[in-house]
Amino acid sequence: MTGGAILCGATREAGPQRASEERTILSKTAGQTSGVRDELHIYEAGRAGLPKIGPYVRDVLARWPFASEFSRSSIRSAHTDTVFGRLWLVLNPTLLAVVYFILVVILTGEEIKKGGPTLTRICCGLFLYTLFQGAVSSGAGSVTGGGALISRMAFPRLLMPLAAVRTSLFRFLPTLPVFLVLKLVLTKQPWGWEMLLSVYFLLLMVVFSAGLAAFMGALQVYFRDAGSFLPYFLRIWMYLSPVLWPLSKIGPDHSLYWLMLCNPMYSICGGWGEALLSSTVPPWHLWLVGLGWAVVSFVFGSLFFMSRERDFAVRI
Amino acid sequence: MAVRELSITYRTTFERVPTLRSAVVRLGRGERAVREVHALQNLTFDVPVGTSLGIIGANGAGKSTLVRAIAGILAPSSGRIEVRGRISSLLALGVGFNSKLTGRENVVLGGLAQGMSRAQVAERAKDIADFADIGEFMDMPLTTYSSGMTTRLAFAVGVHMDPDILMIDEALSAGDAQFRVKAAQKMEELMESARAMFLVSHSLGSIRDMCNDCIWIHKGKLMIHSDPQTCIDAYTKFLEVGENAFTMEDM
Repeated sequence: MTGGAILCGATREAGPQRASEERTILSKTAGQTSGVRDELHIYEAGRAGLPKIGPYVRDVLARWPFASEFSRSSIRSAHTDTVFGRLWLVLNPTLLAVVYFILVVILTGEEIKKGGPTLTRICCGLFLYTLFQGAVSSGAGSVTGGGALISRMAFPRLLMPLAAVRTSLFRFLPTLPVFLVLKLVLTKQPWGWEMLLSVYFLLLMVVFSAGLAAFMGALQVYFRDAGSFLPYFLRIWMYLSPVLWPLSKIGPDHSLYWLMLCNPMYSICGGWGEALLSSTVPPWHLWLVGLGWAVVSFVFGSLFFMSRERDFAVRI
Repeated sequence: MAVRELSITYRTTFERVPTLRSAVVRLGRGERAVREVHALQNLTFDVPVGTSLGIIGANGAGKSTLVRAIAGILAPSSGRIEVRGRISSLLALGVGFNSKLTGRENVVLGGLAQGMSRAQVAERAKDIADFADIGEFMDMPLTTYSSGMTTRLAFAVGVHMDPDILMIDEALSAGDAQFRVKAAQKMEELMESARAMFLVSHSLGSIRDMCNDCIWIHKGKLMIHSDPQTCIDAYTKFLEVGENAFTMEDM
């Protein structure tokens, strides 16, 4: 490549020479590079459009340790400057549950002394919803808040919302023992094997959240305002889902039942509550509908994200 | 064979801050706020194995854009880039660091961010700590560091990644005089093991010393692709500054 100075725009004229040189280079390197890591990256034109799914998934899996460390470090650093430290992971949702408990008790005129089961029920739904809420809202800001990671590093961007979901999941896990103790103490109900079925609905929730987090994350790159609407949207969604009220409150004969049919949280939160709180096997339609929502959300959300992600670096 | 690039023209549609409101207002007026920035236009060049390519040009010429495109961060809007090998970019110094965590934890985080496996990071952790040489601060949170220490740590992580293709974008003035000497030595060592290197710099002296090939980009266009001396001469002539003390300042 040292054929003297090739001046302004004259690069293309040098074609024939170049081609021959290329060939020699290629044949030379064939010997040199054998045995060495030989990853060939080709970057081609096109801002939108899906990358090849197979290599992309492999890439995501290969870089997953980074995402998990990234998420772990954010949990570790979140409460370093507070007195209670990581105890806040449990304190926060519990205090929130108490707030909603007071609200519910006042609105329903229930006696506070007999409110134990209500508080347990609220904890059960709210803890899971907090996982969802946290995953979606931090997933939404994960790309726009990614800063130098996005603009200076090359990696599958899907890791950003996925790391956010992982963070929410690991913030959620320590609240589970709190609920289990509450259930034992306040409702006087023993634990049952049916409670294990709730793991399925937790899984659905994680998958569903991941899809929505990816979708919101990509959306916010184009409309930053989406992030401001999101908290209200998520709050309304919570009131429309069996989080503060039990699944039995809105049955098939209720006037709002049609709305529940298009609410993914109805089946996911509902099934979760049935299994974990009531120790019953949730009705089969909750299993199926929940699975459907989770798959649709994840496929649509991640595909939308992947099709747009090449554009992110120039937009944040 | 390291990098072969046929052509990139990279355009960006650019809004200052894209919001729903501005989008609606714009829609009402029937406008489209699309500003095209032709950051790079029809660049074509090859980088064979063993090349260390200097990239020079004025601010905003598209040097960093080019390097980021080769690193796979920015997608070309037309054309094609082929890269064979593992890229490590020193343009990403300290990316992914969390200021509330200790130096040691950040080494892991930074290493993983650069695309290494946990085992690889663990292997190098000691070397990195030795190289950064910040003593007991290694176990203190990054918030307690001076800016020099943070740069040292970031640089230490960056240079321990064993890249096939090394990309360096300016700002390697890390730390004090002693550390600079160490950094320069490490860079030379890296250049020997790397299959190719890209050096973006305004310091023409270091381009001449470290590179064996050079391109000069001006306003997104490739002006000259030649040996460093020819490039530098043309560039300085173009700037009409001559090789004075300022541009010769080392790194």
